[in-house]
Amino acid sequence: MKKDLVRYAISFTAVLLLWWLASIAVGFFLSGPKSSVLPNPVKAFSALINHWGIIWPNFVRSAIRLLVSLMAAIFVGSTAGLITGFEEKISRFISPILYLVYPVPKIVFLPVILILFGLGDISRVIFIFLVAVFQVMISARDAAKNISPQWIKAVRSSGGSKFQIYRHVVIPATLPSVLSSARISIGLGIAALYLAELSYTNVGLGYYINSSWKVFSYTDVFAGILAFAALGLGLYLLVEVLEKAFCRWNYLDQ
Amino acid sequence: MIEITGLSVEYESGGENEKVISGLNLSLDKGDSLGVIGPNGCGKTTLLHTIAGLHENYSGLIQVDTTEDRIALILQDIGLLPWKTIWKNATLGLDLGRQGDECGVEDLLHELDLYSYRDSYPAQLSGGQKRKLGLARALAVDPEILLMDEPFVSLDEFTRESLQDKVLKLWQDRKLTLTLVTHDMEEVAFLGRNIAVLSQAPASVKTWIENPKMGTEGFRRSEEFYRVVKKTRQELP
Repeated sequence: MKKDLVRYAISFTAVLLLWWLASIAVGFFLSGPKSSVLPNPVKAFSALINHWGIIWPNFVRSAIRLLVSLMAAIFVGSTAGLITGFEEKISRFISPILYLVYPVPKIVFLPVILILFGLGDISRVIFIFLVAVFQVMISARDAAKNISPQWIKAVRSSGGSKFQIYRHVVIPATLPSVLSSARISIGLGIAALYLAELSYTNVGLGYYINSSWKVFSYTDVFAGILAFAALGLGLYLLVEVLEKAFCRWNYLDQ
Repeated sequence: MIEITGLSVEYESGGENEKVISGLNLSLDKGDSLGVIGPNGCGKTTLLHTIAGLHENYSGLIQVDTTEDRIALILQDIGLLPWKTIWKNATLGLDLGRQGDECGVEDLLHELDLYSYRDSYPAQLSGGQKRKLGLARALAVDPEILLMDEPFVSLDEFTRESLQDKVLKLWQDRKLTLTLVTHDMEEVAFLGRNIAVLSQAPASVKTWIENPKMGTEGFRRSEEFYRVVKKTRQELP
């Protein structure tokens, strides 16, 4: 744990240093309003602290949108993926649909979703859900396909039912892959959240950053980016805690 | 008791049915032991899995004098679940609703020198310990019939002999009906009071060797033991 904290501190310092150098370079090479497009970390953090009262409600709203959609995507994606991967007959029908839909950029569905479900949070949640769900589903399906037949036989020969095979083998065996895909989904989800908050809303970190851009308040833009980063980091840490708690067997030599 | 009459098993392979076992007959009394040996791919594992109820597509008759939940199978690669601790692996059968009690499992783990590892995971055990855990898991459900598929494969000679001694003692103490599939002629002679030598696939019993002195004091070093090993070797196709 202490080692982890030291590693995080070193990485964080390195990022801040690079950011600072980049900010100095931008100020040095560009002139006029462009020179302030990349504020240094102190200014950005100061803006984050000073405007926390404004940023906080946006942060909460974004966090709720992201959490609800990711939890739904992980639950639906992993359940559908495990069944598709484990049940050969279902896989034959579902896999072609998955291959067809997965590569389509989900952003194209945003206008349709907004028309169908209105301009409120439901549309945004559905959009983020769609961006994340297929990736989770494919990871879960592939993990379920690679389950060792010996594990299944061990449960079957001990009198295990189909439900018990899912409970004792399929779910625990695929959990590391599902959590790994959950981690990837956080990145995809935050990108989708930003896009979903660019228009038809007046709350959310995406909205906050976009409205700060419009008034050339670059320090506020970066304060919003820092809030996004904090949101992502919090979710990554949550997944890591879940992994350590439920997949301890996967980290035995670490 | 295990009574098999006219057993035939087919697998579908590349769109065609491949016969693995053909018209196999054998009979084993309650509390007796049988060692099954035969050439590679002759259907030994299939025979064991069919008795254990893992294959439903077979013809012929398999009769056992117990219910399905009193039959335990130790798989060739054991099939330990890596995400479960040693304790949870050993009590898998109980978790799945089979009979047996946790005190009995504790005693078993003590007997097999695994108790101190109860909170560890299978990846933290040696090959021999994993085999012992497979044995503990099978015996935890208090079976009447124990089926073992190559139970001590890829172990060093010393560990193998020590585990064979343990199985022999457990078989004697618990009055199990034991069926063991192996490639090892010494193992089959040491643990099989009856030895079935199978033919090339599709398998049937080529020769049945009786080994009445098996289990007696000092049998492993006796002339009779080497005579049985030699006879088994001669009968192998």
